[in-house]
Amino acid sequence: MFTGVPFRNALKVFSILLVAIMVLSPMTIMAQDESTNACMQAEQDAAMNTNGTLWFAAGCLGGIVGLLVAYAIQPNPPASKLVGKSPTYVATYTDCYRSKAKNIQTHKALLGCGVAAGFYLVYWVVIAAAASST
Amino acid sequence: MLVFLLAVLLSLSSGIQTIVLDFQRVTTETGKQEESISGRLYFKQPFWMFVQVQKPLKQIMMSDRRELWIYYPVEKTAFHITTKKDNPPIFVQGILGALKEDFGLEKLGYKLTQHKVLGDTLLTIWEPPADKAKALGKFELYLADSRLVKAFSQSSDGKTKSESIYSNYKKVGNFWIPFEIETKTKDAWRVKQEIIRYKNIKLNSVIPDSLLHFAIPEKIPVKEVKW
Repeated sequence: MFTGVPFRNALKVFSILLVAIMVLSPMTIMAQDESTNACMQAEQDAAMNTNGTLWFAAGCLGGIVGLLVAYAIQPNPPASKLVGKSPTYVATYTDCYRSKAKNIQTHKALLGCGVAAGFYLVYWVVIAAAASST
Repeated sequence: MLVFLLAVLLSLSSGIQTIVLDFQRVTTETGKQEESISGRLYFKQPFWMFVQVQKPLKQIMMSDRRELWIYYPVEKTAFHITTKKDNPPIFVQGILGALKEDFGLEKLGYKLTQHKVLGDTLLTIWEPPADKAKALGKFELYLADSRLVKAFSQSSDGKTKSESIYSNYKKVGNFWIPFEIETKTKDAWRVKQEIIRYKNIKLNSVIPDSLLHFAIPEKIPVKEVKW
């Protein structure tokens, strides 16, 4: 039943496909692993290198301006982290680093801005209350 | 930022115009495999740098003030990164820092607030200038025989602490240079150790024109990136 040229050709194609899948799958997984690893590393480095206190203070003292500065300033990934790394790693690392660092900057500045706004609000409520009671 | 300022100030004030060396950097990190990178580095003050990585892959990194090229001769691909901030030189900050007893901190506005003698070691404690205290942290420098043997620093928020040990000093020209620098960095998430070993250090030697004017071959696709 399973004999003849068509069957042999089909078997050949199937074998080639199987070998291709076996060879390419680990390579794809390795490339994905490398990207995941690069992104994880970049996010950790960005969290370590970005001074949250500084950006909180910028938001607190600079208000909206501080917040805009936090959003506008592009954090640079450290070049030393790209030495000896593959092209895939370099591309992923830089994208993830900048995204994470900017996220931290903006978040902290926003928090600082919010805290400052809260203080002003309380201050004016107290002043208003004092004025109305006299 | 601080490392960058230090490197530039130190390279300008040390009398060293160029550095050529072989390096090996071994890094270990909590929960990760040890990683080793080795190659040759050429540095010309204040910003130019050419790094030929040999292991674990072939890579050429060249940077100048606000440009960075990363070229992969085997993969035949390259990046050209332009930055808005100056690129700090890498691998040579430790050497340049060790040439100064104050690590160049005084020029950055740091103030010596305390000093103690611990046996044969002098400990000096440095506080950042008041207007930069939110961005810069304090430093502790340990000197033995007028050579920097340990530097401890922490970020202004105190969350990241870093300790560098300078060892295997050898005389190169008129300078005592540490041939090994071990740095341990701790933060809330991890402990990271980096050991940089140097070999064949040459100071103020002539850097070949072929490197100074190196260009990525025209047929290589270059990915343009703006930081």
